[in-house]
Amino acid sequence: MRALEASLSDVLGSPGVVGAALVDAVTGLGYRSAGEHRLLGTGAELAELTNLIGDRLHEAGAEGELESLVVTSTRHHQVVRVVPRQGDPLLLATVLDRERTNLALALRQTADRAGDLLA
Amino acid sequence: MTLRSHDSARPVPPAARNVPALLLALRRAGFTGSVTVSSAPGGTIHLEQGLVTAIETPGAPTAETLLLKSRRVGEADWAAAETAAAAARAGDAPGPWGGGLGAALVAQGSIGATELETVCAAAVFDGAFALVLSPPGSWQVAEAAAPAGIALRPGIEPQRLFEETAQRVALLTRLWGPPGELARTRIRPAAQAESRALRIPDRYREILIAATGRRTARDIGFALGRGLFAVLLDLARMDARHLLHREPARPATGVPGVAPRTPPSGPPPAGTGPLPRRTPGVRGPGGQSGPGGPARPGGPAAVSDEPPNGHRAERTETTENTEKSAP
Amino acid sequence: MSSQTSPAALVDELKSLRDRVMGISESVISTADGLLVAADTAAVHPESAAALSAAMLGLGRRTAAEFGLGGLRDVVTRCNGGYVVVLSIGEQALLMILGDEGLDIAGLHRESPASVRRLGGLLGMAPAAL
Repeated sequence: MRALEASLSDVLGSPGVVGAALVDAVTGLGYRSAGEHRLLGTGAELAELTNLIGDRLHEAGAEGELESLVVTSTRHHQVVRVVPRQGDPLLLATVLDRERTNLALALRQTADRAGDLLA
Repeated sequence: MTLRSHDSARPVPPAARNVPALLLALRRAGFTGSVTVSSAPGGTIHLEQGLVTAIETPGAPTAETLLLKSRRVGEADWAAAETAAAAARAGDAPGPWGGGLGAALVAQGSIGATELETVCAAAVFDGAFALVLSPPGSWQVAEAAAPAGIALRPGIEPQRLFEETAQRVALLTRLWGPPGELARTRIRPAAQAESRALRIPDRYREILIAATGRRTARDIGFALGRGLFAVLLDLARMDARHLLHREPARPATGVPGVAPRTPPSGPPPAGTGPLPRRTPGVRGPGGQSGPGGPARPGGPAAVSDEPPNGHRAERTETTENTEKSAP
Repeated sequence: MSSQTSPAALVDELKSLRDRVMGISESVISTADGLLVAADTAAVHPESAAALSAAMLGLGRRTAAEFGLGGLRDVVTRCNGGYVVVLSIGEQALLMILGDEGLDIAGLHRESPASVRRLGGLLGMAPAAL
C-alpha cells in the first residue's frame, strides 16, 4: 500500500509528531501505522472510543459530528482526528511530544494532514 | 513460482486441511492465481505472490460496490476508468493496480491513491470475514487466473487476515451474538427509532432508512455501499440503544404449507385450474392492459404482505411481542 | 379459487428461496403469458414484473429455437446495480428473481431446481413437466 505509506510518512514528518496511525473509524481496521504508535492503542480501541464518545455527545444533544479527541499525558498529546469522507470515515491518530509542539498548532497541522490524505 | 509434484509436469496445489492452511502454504510458495471456494455462499480469493489482493463473494461488497453504491465514484467516472484501463492494458505491463483500473481512477481524479488503497484493503478484510461465516466447502486453485476488477498491490498477508478476522468474530460475538446468524437476520427499525427527534449519528440514520425489514445486514451493506462488518458493528451499537427490531428467523423450510389435495371427482372442467388465464376479447371497466383482455383468474394473485418501502411509516405494528434487544 | 393451490404456500416458497440464496431481493411468479400468480416483492410493481418476465422468457425461447440450442434454461440479465433471472416453471409458468450486485448465482443454480419443483407441484403440474 504505497500511497498510504507515503501519506503516513508525511504525517510523521510534521514537527513534534512521534507516532501516527490511520484507522477505519467504524471497524477499527488499522490501515497503516508508523513511529511510536503504541501509545495510541489498537485501531479497534480507537474506533470504539471515538464511537462511544460520539454517541454520548449525540444523546446529550450536541450538534453535528465528532471532530477530534485529545488525550494529554505528562509527555504527550494524543490527537485523534476524524477524517470524514463520502463513505465510512477514517481516524488519523497522532502522538505528539509536548516539548516540541503546542496543542493548538498540532490540531491545526493534523487537520491539514487529514485533508492531504484524501487529496 | 509453480508448484510441481515429482512425477508429473502438471502443477499440484499443496495438500491442505482447510482454506487457511492452503493460503499459508500458497504464501510460502509465492503463488499467483486464485482460490475459488464452493460454499453457501462461496467466493474467490485472488493472490499475487501469495498475498491476498482481492476477494469476491456474495457475502460482502467488493471495492467496486463500496465505491459506486456509496456514491464515492459515479458510474460515468467508473466506466471512463474501465475504458482507459482496457486501452492501457493493450500496451504496457500492469501498473501498481490490478488491470490498471485503480491507476485510471486516480489518474482521472476520481479518487486519491491513499483513499483508494484504504477502500480496497477494507474490502479484502470484509470479504475474508464474510467467507468465515460460510460453512466449510471445497476449493479449487487456478494458477495465473485473470486479475480481479480492482485489486490491492501489494496484497495482504494471509496471517494478518486470519488474525483480524478472528478478532472481528470475537468482538461481534461479545457485543451482539454469533456473527453468522446476525449477518442473515432481517432488520427493521424499532418503533421508537422512527421519531425524527431522535439524536443519532447520520450513519445510524442511513441504516434505519435502509432497514426495510426484508434486508439483512449484508443486504444493507450492498444497498449503502458499506462493508458487512462495518454494518454489523453499527447495528450492534444501534441495538444497544434499542433502535432495532430483529425479524425472527423463518421456520425451517422443506415443508410447503399447503393442504393435501383432494382429487377432483371427474375430469376438471376446461378453463379452471390454479393458474390465471386470459379471456380473449373481453375488456374490463378498468381497462386492464395487455392483449387478450383481463384475466379470469383461477385464484387471486398472492402477494407477500410486506408494504413497499415508501409506505413503511404507515404500517401498523403487527407482531405481538416487541423483541427485546438482548445481546 | 381452486382448493389445490394455496397462494400463501407459493409466497412461502419464494420467501424460502430468498432465505437460501444470498442477494435475492424480490421475486415474482407469473403465467407464461404474463399474468401475475404470486409475488414476494417490496419495491417493484408485481404485475409489471410478471408481464416483463414473460416477455423475456418468451424471447429467450424463440432465440434458443432460432439457433437450435435446445430447451431454454434461464435468462440472466446483468446490470450495474444487480441481476434479473427468469426461469421457467414447466411450460405454463415462470419465476423471475431480482438480485443485487452480489447475487449468489452459484447458489441460485443449486437451489432453484428444488424450488421450481415445489412451485410446479403447488401449481398442479406433473413432475415430469418441470
